[in-house]
Amino acid sequence: MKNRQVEILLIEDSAHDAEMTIRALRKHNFANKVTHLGDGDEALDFIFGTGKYAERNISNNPIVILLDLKMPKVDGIEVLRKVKSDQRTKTIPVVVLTSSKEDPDVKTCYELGVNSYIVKPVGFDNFTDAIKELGSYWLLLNTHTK
Amino acid sequence: MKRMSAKNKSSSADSKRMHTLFNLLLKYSVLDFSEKAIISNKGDEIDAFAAGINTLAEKLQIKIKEITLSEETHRQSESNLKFALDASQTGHWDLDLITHTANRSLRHDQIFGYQTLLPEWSYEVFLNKHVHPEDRKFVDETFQRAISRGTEWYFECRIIRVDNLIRWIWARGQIFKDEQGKQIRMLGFMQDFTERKLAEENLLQSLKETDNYKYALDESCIVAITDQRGIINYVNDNFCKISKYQRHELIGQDHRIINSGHHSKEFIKNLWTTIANGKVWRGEIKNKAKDGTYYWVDTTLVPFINEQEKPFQYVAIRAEITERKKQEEEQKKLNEQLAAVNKELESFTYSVSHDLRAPLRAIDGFANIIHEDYSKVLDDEGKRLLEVVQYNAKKMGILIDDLLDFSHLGREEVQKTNVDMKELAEAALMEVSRAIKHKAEVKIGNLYAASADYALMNQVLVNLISNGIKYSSKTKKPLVEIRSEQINGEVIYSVKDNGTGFDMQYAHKLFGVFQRLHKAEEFEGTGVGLAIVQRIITKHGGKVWAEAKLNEGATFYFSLPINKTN
Repeated sequence: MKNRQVEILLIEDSAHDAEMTIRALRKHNFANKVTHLGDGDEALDFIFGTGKYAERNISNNPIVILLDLKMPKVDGIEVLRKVKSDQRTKTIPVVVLTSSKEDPDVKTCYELGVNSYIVKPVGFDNFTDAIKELGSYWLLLNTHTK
Repeated sequence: MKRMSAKNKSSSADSKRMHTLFNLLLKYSVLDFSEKAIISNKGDEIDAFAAGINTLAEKLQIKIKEITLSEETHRQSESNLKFALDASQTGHWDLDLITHTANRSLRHDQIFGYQTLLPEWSYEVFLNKHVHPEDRKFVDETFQRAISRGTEWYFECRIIRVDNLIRWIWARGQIFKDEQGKQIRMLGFMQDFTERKLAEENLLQSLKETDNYKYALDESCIVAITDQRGIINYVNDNFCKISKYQRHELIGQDHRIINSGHHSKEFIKNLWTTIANGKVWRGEIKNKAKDGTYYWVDTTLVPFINEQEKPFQYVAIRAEITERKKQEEEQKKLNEQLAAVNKELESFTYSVSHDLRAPLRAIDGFANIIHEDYSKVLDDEGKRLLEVVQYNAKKMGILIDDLLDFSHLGREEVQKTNVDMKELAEAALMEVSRAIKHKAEVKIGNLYAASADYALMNQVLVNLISNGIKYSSKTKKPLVEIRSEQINGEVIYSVKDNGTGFDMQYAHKLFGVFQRLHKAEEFEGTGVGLAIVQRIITKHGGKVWAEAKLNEGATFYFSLPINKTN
């Protein structure tokens, strides 16, 4: 698992949201390539190969990072800042997922170089549609850097 | 003159005459004592006399010469005087009280407007014909008093000239007496000094006005005057009163004595640069009184400029504005509080939208998962109940979104452009028709253009048109009509439907947030649409109202201030 190619890195503290996201991705056959991490701290260790992920080959960058903003300890903004300011990781596309378009951090996200910004819809159908489109775009349509 | 011979013998009468002559010569000092000593010899007497007479004659000659000279000088000085009087435009008169002959200069008569000397002139002519009636009494009194006391006189009075011009003159004169004290001559001078008098009066007037201004300023303002270094050399009572210093404590000090320390160095520097360059400085200054209390003054500093165009003193005129400043500070505090409340509200809005939506998403999502994964073990009732859960979760999501939209409007700025309302209404109708299926006929009239925010006005029309379509959906032939008309400087737009209407007694509830006049089972909705309409129209300076009858349709009106560019 440690050196397996990770296609989608989902960083989401809400287990329920994560479960629904993974279910939606699975529905559209993206699920086997998802790695879910529950907080920003762990995510940073994973991305930069530190802490318990010290042995991970970090040149195996995920193709896209789905990032929740509101997380305890290290929040999404912090993760985004670190990813986008490091030469090794700044080309990884980051899609921010949030519950609200009211989020005051939207502007900060764009300043930090977020690639996309998605408000999680309430309705489950809408939610799965959004996830599906997201997966198709970033995994299938977008020509990512290898 | 030849020396006389003194060889004849004299008689006694001669001797007597000789004696008189001798005394005369002595009196005029033409005989000196040495000669007197020689006269003891009678034979020499004649010679001595002859010598004396010769000397006397010589002296007389000198005397005559002297007198001739002094007459010359006298004539000279008289003509000088005449010239001086003439040049200074001073007229004069001269009255011999013994011979009653009088003398006047031409200038004298010219002062009264005559071209040439009058044949006759008298005090009565002067007083009754020429002195201004209002001045006559005091002139006569002054003159009579001077005569009776034998003193000099001086007065200023108005005269009416022969050409009716009123002029100011001054008159000065003197009475001369002989050795016995008898009055023998009067001499008077006069001059037309109207221009000087008027200038004087103007000066007095402007001095008085200046005094009045100063009084008014002192009464109404706090005034201080400093020299060019800022040293106070004048303060008025108001200054003392507000600063609580005695006058002597302030004079000789500079304004640092009342410095509150409130203002920055730059502020003070700017003030000094301004006035040192001769410009007026205006501003509000916080000062400290003697007892340590603070006061605010609206201050005007006026530099007074000397001939070298440099300020030589500064006048500071101040008015107390402590109360106003207090109110301003209060206002500022309130505004800050308001801003804080607004910010709090904003973050509340965010957490409402975030924290409320997340569980709703889970409710709907997991209900859906049950539906997908366990539909085989659920009977129809179980499935229906699950749908109710999902329906309500979604509805709550819409409510939250509407509420957020509504609170958004409060912060949004209206950006007015010229909006073609007919075009906009057609676009709004298309938007509504895409969102809800309906069979309503919608008639859009020729609408007046509006000066409005395009996106917000679109929202208004979408809300009103969809309302009209929604509430007429149960009518046989649903009809929605959109019109506009100009009344009293406003354009009034109306959206009329032939739907279910409402009872006017509830009209006041129409525009409240979450206020609904129909059950959700009858007509869907969150009760935010009309509240949004009202908020937008109010922001445009217009009004919203409605007219309806139950089951006979409703008309919603909104007014907008007239579009000037239209």
